[in-house]
Order: sequence, then C-alpha cells, then structure tokens
Amino acid sequence: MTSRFRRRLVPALAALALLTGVAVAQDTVRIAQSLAQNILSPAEATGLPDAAVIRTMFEGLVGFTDGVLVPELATEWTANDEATAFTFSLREGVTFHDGTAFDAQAVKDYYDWVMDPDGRGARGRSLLSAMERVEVLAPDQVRIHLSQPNGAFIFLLATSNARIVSPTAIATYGDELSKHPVGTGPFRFVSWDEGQQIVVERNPDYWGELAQVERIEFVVVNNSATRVAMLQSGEVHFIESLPPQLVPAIAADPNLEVLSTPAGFLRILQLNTTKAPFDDVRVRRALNHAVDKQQLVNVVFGGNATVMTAPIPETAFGYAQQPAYAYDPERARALLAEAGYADGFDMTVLTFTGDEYRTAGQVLQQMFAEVGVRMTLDAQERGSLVEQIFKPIDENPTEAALVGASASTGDADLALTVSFTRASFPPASNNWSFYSDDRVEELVLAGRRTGDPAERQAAYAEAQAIIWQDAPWVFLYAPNTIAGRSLEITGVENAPDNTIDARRAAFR
Amino acid sequence: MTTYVLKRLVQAIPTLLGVVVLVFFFVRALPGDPARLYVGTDADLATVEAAREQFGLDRSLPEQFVFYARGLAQGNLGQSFRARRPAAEVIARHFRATLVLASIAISAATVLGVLLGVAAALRRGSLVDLAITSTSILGISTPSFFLGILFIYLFAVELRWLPVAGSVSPRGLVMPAATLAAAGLGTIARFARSSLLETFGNDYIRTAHAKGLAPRRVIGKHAIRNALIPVLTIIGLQFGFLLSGTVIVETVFNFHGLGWLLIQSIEARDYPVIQGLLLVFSVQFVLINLIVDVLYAFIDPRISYA
Repeated sequence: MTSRFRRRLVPALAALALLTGVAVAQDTVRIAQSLAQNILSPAEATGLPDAAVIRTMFEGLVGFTDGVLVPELATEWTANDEATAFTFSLREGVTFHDGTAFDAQAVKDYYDWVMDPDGRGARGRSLLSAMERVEVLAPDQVRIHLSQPNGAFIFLLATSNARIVSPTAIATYGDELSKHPVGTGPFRFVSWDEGQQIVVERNPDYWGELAQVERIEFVVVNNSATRVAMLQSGEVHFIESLPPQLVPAIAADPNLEVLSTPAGFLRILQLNTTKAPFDDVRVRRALNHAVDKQQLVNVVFGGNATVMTAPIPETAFGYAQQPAYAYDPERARALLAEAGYADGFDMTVLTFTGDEYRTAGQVLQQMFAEVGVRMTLDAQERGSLVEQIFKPIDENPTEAALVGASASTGDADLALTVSFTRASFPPASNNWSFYSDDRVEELVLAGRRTGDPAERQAAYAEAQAIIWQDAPWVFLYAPNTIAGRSLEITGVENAPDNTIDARRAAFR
Repeated sequence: MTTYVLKRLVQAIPTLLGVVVLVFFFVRALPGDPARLYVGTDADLATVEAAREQFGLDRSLPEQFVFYARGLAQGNLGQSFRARRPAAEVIARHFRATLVLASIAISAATVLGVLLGVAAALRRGSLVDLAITSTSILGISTPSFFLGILFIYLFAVELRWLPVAGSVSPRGLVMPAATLAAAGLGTIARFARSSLLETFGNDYIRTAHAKGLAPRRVIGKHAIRNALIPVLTIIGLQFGFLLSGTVIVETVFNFHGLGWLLIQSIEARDYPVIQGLLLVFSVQFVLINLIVDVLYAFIDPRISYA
C-alpha cells in the first residue's frame, strides 16, 4: 500500500475510522500465540503455548527470569554435598488465588500428587522422577529427598512442569484441573475460550510487585501472515514466531519493533551412526567441514541465528565452547576419500515441511553436492516424521534428519542425556543418531551425581568435547526466537526457553 | 412428499455407515502417533504410554472400532484427545461459526450472482455482459488466500475499518464472508447467465413472445423460474462446500470454524474429532442434496415426488 494512497483516503474517512476503529483498552495487553494452548495444569502441560500462559499464573519454588535461576516461592535453598537432598525456606504470607495458604504442607501435598504413579501429572512426574519424597520440616521449610544424586535438580524445579498448583484446586476439580488453573502468580485466571483465547487478570493479592496491566489476553493465531497483520493493525501488541522473511516489514514500521532473542534451540542434521556410511566418524566430520554454516545462517535466517559452537545450546548451564569445524570442502573430500567414498554417496535426509527446514535443506543439498554427496530431501508432515524418527534401532529407516533439539531445562544434564546417551535411544527419547560412547555415559552420570557446579561443569565440558569430535550430528545453528512487538508496550518478550514471558507487561 | 423425504433419509443410511467404517480405518492408517504428538517429542515413554492408554489406543483395532461404533449408536462421537471433552461438543462450537459464515456468504453470492447473471444474459454481447462475465472469471480464479490478504491489508492494516481476525460478530464477518462470496458469486453469475440464455432459446419462450406477452412478463414469469433450476443445484453444492469449512479463508482470517478445526485435528491426529467432522460433512451433503431436490418441486411444477 503506497503512502500516497493513504494520504488521499485516510483524511476523507477519518471520521468513519474513528467510529469503527480497532481500539483496544489501554489496560489490556494482547498477545498472539502461534499454537493453541491445551492444558493449564503445569504438571500435565506439554507445549510451549501452555507454558507461556502458565508462567503468568503459577510459580515454582524457584524459576527462571531472563534465563537466570531466581527464587520464587522459596526464598533460599541449600543442597547437601551428595546432591540427594535440597532444603528450601519458603516465602511467608503467600496465598493461592483461591485463598488457600501456601506453606510447606501445600508443597508436600502438591508434589505427592504429581508423583502419584496413577495421577495425571505424567509430565511433571517424568521430569522430577528423581524425587523420592517431600519432608515438611517446619511450616516454612521443606526438604526434597532424591532417590539418586542429581545436581541439576534445582533446574528441573524451575521449569514450567514443576510449578505449584493449589492443593484445594486439585481436590475440587480432579480430572478437570487443567481447565481451572489456580496458582500463586502475579496474574489469575479469568476465562478460556478453548483453541482461541485465554484471559488472565492482575492478582491484587500477589506477594511481590503487582502486575502493571489489568489484563492479558492470549489469542491463538496459527497463520504467521495473519499474526503480522494483526500486529500492524493494532489488534495485538505482541506476536511470536515472526518468520525471518517478514522481519524487514516489521522493522520498517515506526510503531513496531523486532525482538530477536538467543534461545535454547538448535538445528541439526542428525546422522544415524548405526548405518553406513555414517558409522564412519571420518564421513561425519567430512560433512561438518562441507557446510559453510555462517552462509547457511545468512540465507535461512537473515542473520537471526548463531552458528553452533557445542553440542548443547550456549544458553544452557555447562556449555563449553568447542573448536569450529572450519568450512573446508577440500578437507571434506579428503576425509571422504580416506573413508573410501572418493566418489561421494547418496543420502536421504528426513525433515519437516515448512519454510525454514526446506530452505536449510536446499542449502545443505548444494553444499554437499560440492563434495560429491548427493542428498535427497524427504520433507514430511510433523506427525509422520515423528513416527518414523521414533522407531527403535532395528526398524528405524532414517539415514539422517534435519530437525531441532533443545535444552528445555537450561541445563547440560538434560540436553546431553536426551540426545547422546543409550537410555535415550528411540523410542524412549531423542538420541536419534543412536550415538553411544562409554565415557560420555560416565561423564553425564558424574555430572548428575554432584551438586558442585565446578565439578559438573568439568564433566559436561569433557563430554561435549568427545561428542563434538565424534560428530554424530552435522552441527548447524541456534535460531533466535523472533517476535514482533508494539512500541506501546514493554515487558513482554521471549524468554530463553522460547516461551513468552508476559509477567512484566506494561504500557509505555 | 413426506414419504419421499423419509425414503431418501433411509437411503442415506448405508452411505453414512460406509463413511463411518472407512473414516475410522483411514485416520488410523495415517502415519503419526496421537499420543506422542500430544505429549510432545521430549516426553519419556511412560508419559507417551499414559496418554495412549487415556486415549484408548492401547487396545486392538477391532476393540477400538467396537468401542467407537457402540458410542456412535448412542450418539456419542467419543472424547477429543486434544480438548479432553466430547468431540461432539468441540465440533458443535465450531459448527456454529461456520454455519453463520457460510450462510451469509452463500446469501450474498446468490442474490448478487443471480442479479448479475440475469443482467448479463439480458444484455448479451454488450459491454455490461463483458464486464460481468470477466469479473466473474476474476472472482472464480482469484485464489481466496490472495483476496483475503488483499482485504486484510486494505481494510484492516491500512484503513483500520475492520479487524484482521474474523469472528462471529458483524464486523468480524465482513471480510471472510466477502472473500468466500467472491468465488461463489462468480460461479453463480456465470451459471445463471448461461442457463437463462439457454432458456431463451426454448419454444415456450418463443410462444410466450408470439402470443404478445410483455417481455418483462416473459422473462419474469417463464424464463427465470425455469433457468433457476440448474442454478439451484450449484448453489446447493457451493453451500455444501462452504459448510464443510473453508480451510484457507478460515486460516487467513483466523476464523475458528470447521475447516480450521479439521486442520488442527489432523495435525494432532485427534481421531475422534476427525471422524466426527467427516461424518458431519457427509450428513450435510446428504441433507443439502435432499433440500435442493425438494426445492426443485417448488420451483418446477413438472417435478413432483410421489
């Protein structure tokens, strides 16, 4: 639309526009999410859209703010040296939104419910599986005992699935709990029009600083172009998942801004290390040398991503930078020749449908062709890709897959465990490369068995170095999460775990 | 007439039974595990298994079918995996939105389409005819996502008269309904035009002219009525398609109707909702065809159903 057109039409129709204009009250922040929320019970919730809403209403003993571990319902905590018991002092004078007092008994009752093997909180239970029992030491003191040492446990407690629900609500709502969220957070539940919109409002009895806006509305808008138009028309103040190709349009708008935040996400080409030729480490290294990763980032993301420098995200605790696999087609060809593939080979890469994966796949295709590797891209819809990739080792036909990986707890323990240990071979978890190394197994265990950050860091650093050298993946890039925001507001942004943090929403 | 309608309804039962069986096995033949998709790719096996059990997918296929068929016989479509509430309830919520949108779109398309078609036929070969015919082609051939986005940028982003997001409200319906009506309008106008021209060539029209009836009466009383019969079929079909949800328009305008629900349910492999939706679509087509046939009798006295 040209501005000339605008100048001519707009004054003439100003009155009409005023009458019908899309006005949003100044006390309500509207946020467009790309996927529908499913479940508002923290221990049952599965998706990022759920987590964004849950964060406004629920708190954990600890939590993350801007990616940093912070006290929430606990004021301080200590771990024993073996990392088997964590003791928490609880915040006093806190009540749940339904008036139930928050105390040590509430913590115990809640986590007992989560850990009940027949209960509904399967996600929370699996996350906190090390939790053996919760002991009430005093009304404002609890100790969590673990069945095995886990120095990373505090990070698990800070994740969305570990946030605490009012025990009264659990008793009242039973199986319907996920539709009746009752927490202690700065916002409380108002309404949920399923698949479309969730409304929360300021909790006037919040223990901390009160929320600055009256209400937040989370609306579901699946189509990215529609989200962008809603931001431009002022119908929403914040949109998530702004496609890289639409970044310039938002950046050029004087009323809007682009937020590009490093996140705990990775894009990788995982190689099935049990299948030839990917069972040869020289081939895997050759493919790493064959990719100009910076070029890939520029093409796919217009620079809104960083080249991977370790097998886990830079934002995760325990990250240790590794020496880059330099872009060197000569060296790649030499390595392939050494491995007996002087004429290259054919490979099929499974990937998702969607712009990012398709573009990245095409770039890889060209770069691999330079070193004689003929790559076919097999783009599949999410449901069928997930089915194929999760097949057990003997049945899994996947040679390689261009997919994502993440560290949802912000800690090396989970990131390494799910992607690089034998326990995580599909269908159990995400070690889609079927990578297996005895020393890595030891190191991951060692890191988990101590509460000492320095020791953990050392174990994880060594594990990352081994994995990096073994190259079960072609390590590609870490995409930023890109969001669009109206200049009318502040305080809504993507947290490093890729969920929206709207707790500090405010109008300028 | 009543006997005829009842007979038609009874005849539809085998069709619908076939749909039930086919759809049940068809959705399960799709690759993709609803339980895994529901709990997320980072969930452990125990969590996946728990979901599978909750969805009843741990049972054998025949067992699942018997369970489904038994529920269906009692009017129960099952429990939505994603929404965790009865699939019928989920579908009903979105059905209302689509029904309102489709009704408005088809009414607008019918009134305007017939008027334009008649105007073009009466001035056959004139500039008016040319303008109407080519606009109709434009309406039919413009992809609705393009027209939708054009509307959004003009009326929502630039002029800010209307909201981008469609909804069941007067302002929220304007753009999605106009986008949908554009294509239907073109089809209806072209059909009305050609059908009317064909009718003009009939003997009884010549007779009517010959016996000295005023042209207005010839067209109004004899021609249009007969010409509308095939147009009615087209309108019925179009309405059927609109009622099945209009995936693209609903997506572009974030309008949460049946088309939107179908896409979401397929992505999540929400079997009960997919099954329910396809059953609803089949029933709709059966009913609309029946209504169109009944309407024939009203318009054309020669047609009667004994």
